[in-house]
Amino acid sequence: MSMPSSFDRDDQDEVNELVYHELVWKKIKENPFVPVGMLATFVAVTTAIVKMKSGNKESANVWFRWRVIAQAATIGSLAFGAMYQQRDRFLKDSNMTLEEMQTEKIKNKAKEREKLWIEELERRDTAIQQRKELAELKKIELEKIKNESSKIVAELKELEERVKEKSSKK
Amino acid sequence: MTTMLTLALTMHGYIADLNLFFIELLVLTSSISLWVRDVITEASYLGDHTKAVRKGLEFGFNLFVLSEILIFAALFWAYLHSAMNPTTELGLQWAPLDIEKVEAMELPLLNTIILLSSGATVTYAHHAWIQNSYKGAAIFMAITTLLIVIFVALQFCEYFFALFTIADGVYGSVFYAGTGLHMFHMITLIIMLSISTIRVTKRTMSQTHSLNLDTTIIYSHVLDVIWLALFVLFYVWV
Repeated sequence: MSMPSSFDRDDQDEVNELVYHELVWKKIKENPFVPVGMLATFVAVTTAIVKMKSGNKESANVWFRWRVIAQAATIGSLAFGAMYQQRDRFLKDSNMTLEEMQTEKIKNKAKEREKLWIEELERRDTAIQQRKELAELKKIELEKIKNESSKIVAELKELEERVKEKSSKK
Repeated sequence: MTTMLTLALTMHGYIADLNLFFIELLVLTSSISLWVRDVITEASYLGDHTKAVRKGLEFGFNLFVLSEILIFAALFWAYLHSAMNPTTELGLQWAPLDIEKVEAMELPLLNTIILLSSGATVTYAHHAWIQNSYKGAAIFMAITTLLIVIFVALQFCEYFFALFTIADGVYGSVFYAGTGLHMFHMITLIIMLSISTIRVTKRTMSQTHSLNLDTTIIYSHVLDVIWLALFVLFYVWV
């Protein structure tokens, strides 16, 4: 017995229990474009070779083009089928419908936006706070300067008075 | 013959290293080059490729393509034979128990797309050739060659990173036999495409004498289609 792992696909056991032709039949039913496309490709390339052999090169080229187109369609349907299956499996695993997922997504987005807005407001708040503090500091400084200047003015006046007194004595 | 002998003897441990094989490969490559040179000389300068000769060559090539399809049919048969009735040794399941498959929608899908693009470019080269444009044909043949080279390189990567070997039971054997045979054909196709590109560039082919180009184009298309079958059967439907 091996331990379950997150690498396991959910339907792996189910797939392993199928007999090969049942598995192929299941795959064909899941994506019927693949065998049809393959058949179209084989037909196109055979026709092209027959045309080539008969010397009708233009017609052979056209059939070769159809070959490439049919093969591209087959591979495209394979790839898109695989993508679709992956999506299906994802939806099955998540026990939510697509609409629920979308509303959930929108809700999450709204929450995220709200959170961002609150953060922005907080940022602005702190900026205002900082500015206020700065203004406070400036005020104190201004106060100091005023005091000092008033002192200087007072000193000047004293000096002037002294000078006046001296001159009147003379 | 010597390639087969040296390879078989090396694989079964009668020859210790690959030096003899590399020497043999050198001999093979040089003899092929000289042979191709002779054939090109006979075709383009000596005028030996009369209508009857061309018909014979074309017929021979078509039979060769048929034999290619049949050998791949045999490999598909071997694969389906084991897949539809997996034995107890395989854990009664396909792909066998504990085999880590190559994920189809990863590198193999890229390879498939590259091969498909090469199909498109070779078709355009063919179209250009029909329109008597030597330049267009040469350029698009060169692009095709490059795409096939990338394909082979990616195939090497895939083999290098695959989590099972050719010795891992019938699954490994048949997987590498199928995809490996296809890869060897791709290497041959690279040689054929580059020879055709050079011949178109050097103008040793004309509208009435372009068997080399025609067969190369047919071959590349057939190998593309075989790869589609390989991809679907060996990679996707497991």
